[in-house]
Amino acid sequence: MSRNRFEGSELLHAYVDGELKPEERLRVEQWLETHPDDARRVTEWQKQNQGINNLFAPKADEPIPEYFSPPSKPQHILSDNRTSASILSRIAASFLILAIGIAGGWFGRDYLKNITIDRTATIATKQNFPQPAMEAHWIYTPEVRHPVEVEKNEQDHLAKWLSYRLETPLTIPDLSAQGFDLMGGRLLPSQTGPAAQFMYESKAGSRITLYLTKSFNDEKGETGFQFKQAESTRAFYWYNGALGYAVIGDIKRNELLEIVNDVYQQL
Amino acid sequence: MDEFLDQLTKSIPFLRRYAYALVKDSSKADDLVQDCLERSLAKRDQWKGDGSLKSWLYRILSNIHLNHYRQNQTNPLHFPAELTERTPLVPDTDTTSHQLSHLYLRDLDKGITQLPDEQKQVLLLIALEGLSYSEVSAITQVPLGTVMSRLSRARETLRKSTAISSSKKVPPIRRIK
Repeated sequence: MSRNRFEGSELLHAYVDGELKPEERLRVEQWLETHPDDARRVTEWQKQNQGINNLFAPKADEPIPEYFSPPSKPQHILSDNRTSASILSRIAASFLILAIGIAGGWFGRDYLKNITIDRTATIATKQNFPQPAMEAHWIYTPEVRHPVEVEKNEQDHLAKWLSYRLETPLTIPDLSAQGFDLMGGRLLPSQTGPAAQFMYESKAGSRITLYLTKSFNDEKGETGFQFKQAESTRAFYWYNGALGYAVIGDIKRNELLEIVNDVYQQL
Repeated sequence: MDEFLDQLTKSIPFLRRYAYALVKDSSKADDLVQDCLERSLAKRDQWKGDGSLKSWLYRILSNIHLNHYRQNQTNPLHFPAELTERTPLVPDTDTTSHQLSHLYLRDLDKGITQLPDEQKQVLLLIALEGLSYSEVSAITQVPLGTVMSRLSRARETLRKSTAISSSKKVPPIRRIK
């Protein structure tokens, strides 16, 4: 191609996206050395590319749900005459499979919900969202050797991983101003899919947890803080957008509220 | 072996990634991929076997996305808007770091969601799916110049939507990852 394939800023984009031949690349690099504004744009775009991959690339590594396997055997497609019929039947079959999958999913979901509601009438309702959060708090905070699944030295990975599982970018709040240092976090099951728990510890060894899960309500509204107490354990919880949040600790209510405010500011 | 089905199956992970980045909802994304696969099976004889099957599938998926999934969702903002404005502006000191701050990723994510679909497709096909400009031009069926201008506009929008978090100095104890 001619050397004018790309012009002006197009050349910079092409450089970022690896579209240039070696000699063109060299020319751009020389240009960037003396043009800091353009160099800054290039860095910014490279950063965007990297960010896009950080956000979405892991999706391709997921196992493929079974219903995607093309529902056919090679013979079905051989002769032209039979092609349309066999494709139609295969499409019909795949729709059917999909429909069964969806229906099964829906009915199964209701079924599961009913069971849970029956067994533990209080847990499944939205108002009792802090219950599983408190249970997770009780189970993991006494742990000496394995309080968290991923420790704070892998904080980057932790945030990325849990953001990915909850399908929402998560921020891990820094509570050191409140005297609590991050220990790490873990992935948990919940009524609405994956949930995340982050654990913090004070110098005195008191532990608090932040629990996040996908919100039950579809309206994606925002609620005020709500409070729940069981024995000495106190929890503030609220909904914001796609997520429900709970902050739990065995500390005084006003101390906990301060932390909650801090968490809310940072999220 | 049926080469078509073989290649089709191999493309599924990439289609799912692309679809997810477009609609940001796992089940919607899988519906989109499912639609795409069904349509490709139905139109199988239209595939000449000359171009790559993957590109053809990207094209089908992109079309379905434009025709059926176009912004009928209300903006799925995960975070209240004031939070992005709260962040103080501090001169950048950390451009060399390859660790992208979580604030940056959050703003980038939000920025991508708000891009017009045509720009979003072009950007994702290039930056995420790693396709060349000419492949993207074939997939989106617009001239190369249009691909480039969409790409350029998308990147400029994202630069603005991440301008605050991008220039935010990361505190010594990293609270955002």
